[in-house]
Amino acid sequence: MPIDDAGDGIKDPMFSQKMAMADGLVIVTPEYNHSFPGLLKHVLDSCLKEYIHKPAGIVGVSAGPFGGVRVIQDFLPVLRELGLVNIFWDVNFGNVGKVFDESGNLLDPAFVGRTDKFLNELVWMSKTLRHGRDNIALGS
Amino acid sequence: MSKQQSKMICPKCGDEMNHHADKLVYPGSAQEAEKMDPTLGGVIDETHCLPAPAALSRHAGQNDF
Repeated sequence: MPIDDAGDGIKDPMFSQKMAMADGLVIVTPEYNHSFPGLLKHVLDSCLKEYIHKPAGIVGVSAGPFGGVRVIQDFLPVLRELGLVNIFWDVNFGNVGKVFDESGNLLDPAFVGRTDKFLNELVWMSKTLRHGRDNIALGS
Repeated sequence: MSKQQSKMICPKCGDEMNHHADKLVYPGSAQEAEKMDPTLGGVIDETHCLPAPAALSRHAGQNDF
């Protein structure tokens, strides 16, 4: 994707199609200086209509102990303006260097249950909003 | 916006679409300003969904279709 500021003028057709097909999004983001990476925002800004009234769950990742809680807080206004709906449950991978081994294997089994809760809610929201988008007219 | 409007028809498959979102957009050009709703002070950007994936279609103004 070109690194300029043209928004949907630099839309990638494959990314756009994937977003249009999706009923929900899982956004995994590291925390950089209490916020999200600029490139994540750059990619998300290339679409809009593809997101409207779809749920997004956020997975925060950080080297420190807080598991990306600050990036998630900072990200919520962006999601809202993109038309996405944030879910109630987050997953926070704090001290990520200790949560996975060098091969990417999960070392803390507590994350299995937490991620399961996260995905259950995301699927519920995806089904609910899908039904709404398909069947419930605005102002009805 | 009235609650009863004719359904938007998908230009590709001819099926009815569901109007599920509106967004107020402030006009950035004279052309957009012509479509402005004076009571809202902006242009209503509508989102319609076809009950099938990848079938969203968006329109600037309810009278554009």
